[in-house]
Amino acid sequence: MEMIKKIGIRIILLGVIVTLSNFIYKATTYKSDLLAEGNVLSKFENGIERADILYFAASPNASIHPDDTDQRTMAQMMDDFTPTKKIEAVDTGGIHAGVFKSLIEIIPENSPAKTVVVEMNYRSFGYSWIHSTLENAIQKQLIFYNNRPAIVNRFLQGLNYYETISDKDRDAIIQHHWKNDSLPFAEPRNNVTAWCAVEKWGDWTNPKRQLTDHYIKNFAFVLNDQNPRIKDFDEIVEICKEKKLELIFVILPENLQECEQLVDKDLVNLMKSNKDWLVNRYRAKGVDLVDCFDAVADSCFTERHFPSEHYNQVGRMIVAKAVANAINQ
Amino acid sequence: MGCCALEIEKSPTRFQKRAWLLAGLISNFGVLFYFKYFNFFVGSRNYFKAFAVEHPKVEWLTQVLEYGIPVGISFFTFQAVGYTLDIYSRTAKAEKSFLRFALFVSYFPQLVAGPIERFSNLHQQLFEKHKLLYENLSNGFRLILYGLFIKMVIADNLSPLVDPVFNNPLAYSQGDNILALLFFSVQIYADFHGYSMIAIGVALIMGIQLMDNFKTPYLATSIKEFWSRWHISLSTWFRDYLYVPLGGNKVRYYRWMMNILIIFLVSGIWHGANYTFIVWGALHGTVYLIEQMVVRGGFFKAKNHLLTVFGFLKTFFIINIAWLFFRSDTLAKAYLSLSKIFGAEPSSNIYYRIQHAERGKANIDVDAAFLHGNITPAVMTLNGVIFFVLGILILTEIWIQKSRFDAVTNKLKFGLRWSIYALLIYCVMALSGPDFYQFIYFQF
Repeated sequence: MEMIKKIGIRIILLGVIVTLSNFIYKATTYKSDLLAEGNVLSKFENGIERADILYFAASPNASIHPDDTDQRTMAQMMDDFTPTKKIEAVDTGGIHAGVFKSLIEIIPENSPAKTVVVEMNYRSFGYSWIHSTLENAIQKQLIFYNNRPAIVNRFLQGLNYYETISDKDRDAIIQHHWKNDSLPFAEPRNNVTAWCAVEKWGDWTNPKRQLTDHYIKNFAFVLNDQNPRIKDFDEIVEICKEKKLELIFVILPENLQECEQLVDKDLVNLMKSNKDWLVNRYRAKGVDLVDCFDAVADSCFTERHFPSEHYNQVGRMIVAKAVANAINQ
Repeated sequence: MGCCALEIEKSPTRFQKRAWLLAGLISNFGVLFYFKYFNFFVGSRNYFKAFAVEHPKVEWLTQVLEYGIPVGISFFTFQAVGYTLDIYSRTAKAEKSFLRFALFVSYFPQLVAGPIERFSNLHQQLFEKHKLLYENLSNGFRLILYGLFIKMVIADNLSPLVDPVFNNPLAYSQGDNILALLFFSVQIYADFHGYSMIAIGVALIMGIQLMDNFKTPYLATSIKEFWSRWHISLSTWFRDYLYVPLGGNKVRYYRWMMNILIIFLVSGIWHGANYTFIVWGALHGTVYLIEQMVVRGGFFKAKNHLLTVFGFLKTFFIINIAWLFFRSDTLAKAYLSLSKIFGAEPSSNIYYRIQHAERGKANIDVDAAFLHGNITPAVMTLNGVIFFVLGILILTEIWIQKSRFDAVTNKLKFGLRWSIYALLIYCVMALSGPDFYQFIYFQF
């Protein structure tokens, strides 16, 4: 009995120490930790305090070309198009629906933000993004994105309480998918590995061959409900229903012109059929979906050595207007 | 191994006992050799792979080797070998139950990185009746807390500072190379001692007393003293199962010197199949012998503070230089680090000659610097947290001396004791390294 009493007192003391530590931590090194490991959380915390609409995005939101005369981000443009509502971006490079899901889950009930706009990046459904080398760092960030006390999150981060897969293993997973996931085409385009071996543009020293390779690896896949990213978006739909948040998905534009020119029409058709599958799936779930998939011309894409969703001011404006229209309706 | 020990005990003649002992040692060291040293003796893994292409029949072997070394193989092998030798020398009785023997070898708190326990100490404790005692709980958790502090807060904060410097010493200044070496000394101590503390603490909660593995080793004033304070379970293992059977100090002078060198070289090889570990062991052995010659020669007989300080500084310096070899991936890289530390300009000619001689792996960064003159200077970025937690460690070490954290805190009043716990808990929760690095000694 005496031992239980002693242990009980010490457990209470431990609780007091952890509580006090949490206060000290939040007042001291918490901000710098967030800056280093979970920079999107500070944007999120600002957003939930003062915005009506949160725009969850990765790098396309704020990738601005040096030649752009309009230096506004997509979210700033949207904000200007919707004068009665305040829109704030919760964004950083490389993040995806898995991160958005965790953040949406912790939007407090008393937050003025009652609408969430979530970017839907076609490339993020591909295995080269799902298992990109950035993923360990993203999983590490995710520890901070929940309602546990900040110091507990920091402690769990110190213990590597997140999924870590070595670069070598991630590469093996990607290669496996490229080799074994069937594509709806005849040989040699029946899987990514075989398709990449087709020498349309000569050998590997040709930059066109390299870029073609990137297009096939990033865009050639068949979407189904087993895709991890689809599961994340499904969860986002459920969370928003539960929290009574209005939800808008935005399918970002891809450079279909360049894709067709470098690879062929079949890849573009495959991408479009995947996109249609997404549209049908989420409209059937009652989600307001803004489809900008083929809305931006090749000339608006700023990255020329790798397929990306980085647009110049014209491209950003097209997406922002489409989203603003959906919000204002 | 368990069967061999039983057969040793049953064998009526000395010859049969020896035969079974040999069988036991071969089976144990055979496994260790296969996983840990095969590549070293055959050549590099790449060399062997090339060999496998030419000889497809051995391809399965390369595939097995690809799985790498079982975690902690050196530790549990040595524990099992110690048991067999104890049975052979009749200092212990063989365990007839296979499960009990398996528990002794694989007792989880110390399975992967020690302390390497003796059969006589651990076996009896494992099978006696245990009561849940408050004292054990309290001391066990104290040790776990201190172990977590030095592992997560000290070692894991130092690792990201140390690793880049040792990866490419050329990119960093002389000062950064010196600092990285000093930090590594602290890191390896904090990492290994931290693990030992956690292992001892976990076992203590279950009522098992494991042996102490460290006693503030950096406060040693000689290499001999250092080895009585550092990785004690391994150094006493070598003393009892190698040094004494070789004749210890009861042999002629030159033979004794040879025995000492053998012990240190084997200790180096125990850590891994790499020339860097051999140099590390040889360096310790050589300085140990020089120190003993000075003692035997009767120099510096009088004991005074100045000599103690000199002994401490000299020992700390030697230990650090030895750690440089221990930490470097190859001797060639160790050469680069040494050159930078002593302010000399590393020569590409010497670097490549050493690399060729040791069949070392190429390093992209070093090659870029030497072959293409392409070097991007880097700077070690320090922050206040590092110095704050290092300050806590140094003060605690001086306070603990040859005792143990649980014992010294036990003497304190409740309020002060809990204030120390609070500080350590805060550090562990809020100031740990941004990543949990695998324990360094897991690779051994």
